[in-house]
Amino acid sequence: MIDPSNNNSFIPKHGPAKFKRANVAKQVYVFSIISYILMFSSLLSAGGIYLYSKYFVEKQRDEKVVELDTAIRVFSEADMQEVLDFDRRLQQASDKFESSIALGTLFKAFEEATIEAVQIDNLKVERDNTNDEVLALEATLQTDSIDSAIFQRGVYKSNELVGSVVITGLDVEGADENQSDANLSQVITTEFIVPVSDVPYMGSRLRFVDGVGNPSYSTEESTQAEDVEESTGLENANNTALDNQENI
Amino acid sequence: MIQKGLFTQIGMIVLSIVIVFTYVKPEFVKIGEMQDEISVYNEEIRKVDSVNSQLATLKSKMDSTSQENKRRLQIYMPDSIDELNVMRDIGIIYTLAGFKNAIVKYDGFGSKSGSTKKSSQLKDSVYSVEVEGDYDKLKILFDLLEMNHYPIEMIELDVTRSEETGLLSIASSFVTHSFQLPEVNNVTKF
Repeated sequence: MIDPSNNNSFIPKHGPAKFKRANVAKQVYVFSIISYILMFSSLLSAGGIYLYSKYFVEKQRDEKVVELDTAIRVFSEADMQEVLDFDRRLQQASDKFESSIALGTLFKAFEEATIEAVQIDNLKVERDNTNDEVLALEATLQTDSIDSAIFQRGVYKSNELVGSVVITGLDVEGADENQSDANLSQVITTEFIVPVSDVPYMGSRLRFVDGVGNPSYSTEESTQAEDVEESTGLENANNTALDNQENI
Repeated sequence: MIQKGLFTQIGMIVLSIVIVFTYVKPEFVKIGEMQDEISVYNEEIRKVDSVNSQLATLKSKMDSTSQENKRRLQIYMPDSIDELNVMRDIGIIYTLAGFKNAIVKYDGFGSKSGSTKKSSQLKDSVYSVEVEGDYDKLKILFDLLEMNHYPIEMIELDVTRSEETGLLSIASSFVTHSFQLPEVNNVTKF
């Protein structure tokens, strides 16, 4: 056995050989990471979008379709037609009511404005063809003097209803020379234009006090409440028409 | 020489791009369109609900009108005119006013003067009457006409004093109206 202390070899002494690993730098494969990320994210997004589209958005849309269909089914065309017919009837009745006139009021005013010296031979009243908003009156008056005619015209003009008087004709019949008292007869043709709005129909203001067999009536000064009671019921209907006009 | 691993990675990138452009992007567009549809549906549902609510309100308002008022409205504005009944009513009114031998004539339908512009769509039924009487009876006649439950509108009046009898010769024309449905040109059906 060789004595290790007696070492005369020129070969340098080394310890047991150890395998040294070379220090190799770590390589980061960025391209791989990017490719994997892109791949997985695209797959995830595709899956997520598929689930979102199919189980949420489409479902929501289908629910809305059903809801709209239900709402449409709730609508009743028959009810709507009934309401429209009622409204039209009310509207036509209201229009008719507004355009109705009280001839009694007009005649009363005419009577009050006619002086005693004037005699009415002929009176025509007509609702104007071209203008539905006015009444055309034509009266043939007979009076004893031209002064009476002038005075009568003044009285008419001072009346609110018949103030639009226009004298359109004057026929003067001369007195007979043999007659002791001169009796001039002036025949005057007058025309009036009365706005319909000045003679509005206010609803029934009169009451029958007896039956049909013995007709008589009283012209009471009725209150507003009585007017409503005596009316054709159109007051309430008219208000309903006005309300319906606002709502429809 | 391209390494196998690099080829795989390039393939994955290309595949992900293809997935994005062929499925993800179109699906996004489709979702957007569906959401627009949903908002349109919401708007239409809101409108239909509004109409239904308004109709229900009007229907209840109409139903709340008393039967008496409905009956009066039907009388005031009937669906059709019974000419015989109207002539009878006019005759009764003249009789109540004190006139005797009132001759009532039915002149048919027409748009004589007196049809207002507003109610020109109404059907006018025209009648004429000739009587003799005095001025007091004429005033009573006007008052009675106002009391009628449906409008008998005087559209023409010609009063002439007769020198022989001293009475007034009264010729008048009346018109009554009935409810007329408007002509329907476009019908919307649900």
